[in-house]
Amino acid sequence: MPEFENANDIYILSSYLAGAVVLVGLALASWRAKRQDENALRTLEKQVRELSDKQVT
Amino acid sequence: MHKFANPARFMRLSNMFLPWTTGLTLLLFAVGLYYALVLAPEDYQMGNTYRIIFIHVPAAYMAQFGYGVIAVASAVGFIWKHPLADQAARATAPMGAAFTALALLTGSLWGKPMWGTFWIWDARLTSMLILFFLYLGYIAVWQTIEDHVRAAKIASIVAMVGLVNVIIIKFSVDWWNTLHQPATLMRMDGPTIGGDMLAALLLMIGAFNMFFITLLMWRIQSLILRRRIRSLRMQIGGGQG
Repeated sequence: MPEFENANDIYILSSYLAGAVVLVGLALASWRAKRQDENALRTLEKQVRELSDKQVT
Repeated sequence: MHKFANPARFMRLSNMFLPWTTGLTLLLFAVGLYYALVLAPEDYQMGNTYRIIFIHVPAAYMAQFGYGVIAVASAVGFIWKHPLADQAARATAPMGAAFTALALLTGSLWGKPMWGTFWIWDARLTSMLILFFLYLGYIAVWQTIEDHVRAAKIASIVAMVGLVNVIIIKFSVDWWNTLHQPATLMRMDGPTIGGDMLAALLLMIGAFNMFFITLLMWRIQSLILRRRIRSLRMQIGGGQG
């Protein structure tokens, strides 16, 4: 690893930290949104099935 | 083309590709960061501070690439009413905005030690800031207009008009006298850096690209699911009413 030991180290570390925060944040937000949509869809499909079963009986 | 843009087919194909793109993203980031922080040598003038470019350049590249994707997808959606094109454009916008914000932030962190200031109103920096506002405007159109057909049409126009700004960003360092350095990679006479520095930069750009592709597939899947959810809700509402 490079030896960071001058006054500019804070700028390098801040850049990599900002990169990590943005990328991880984007990935988590996208993944969470997809999971929530999948769960919502499953629940609705179940409701539709129940509704159509009721109408048949 | 429409055959391949079928939402069901997209879900099937993207589910097949996602494990591979996710794995490749992680691999490229691991190797890219190793090159960026370990193998790439210290710059003789800038010391280690130049390593900011391994985050800044890929973020700036993706910010512009993302807007290009939105503009092309919007044009396809606008002209041919392609079923997935508007979804792809819409899914790209938040990522593009985040990459632009990251490019602006890391650019400021580069500017302070190199130019002595976090911000200056020069052509490259200002056109990048305008790009960020264009992304916000595009997202706002989708958020505020409830009618999806109308939202898609207005958002497409915003995207296509805004493409002019991407061209301005690219050539701003040639057209105006700016503090920002000229192009390093995309030059007629080849890149101005080489060796492990160039390898690190290309690997990080590759990692950001694969990350973008992976997230784009997730986000389009999400929008397709939401469309299905909306239609099921209407079906349930109709069935009960």
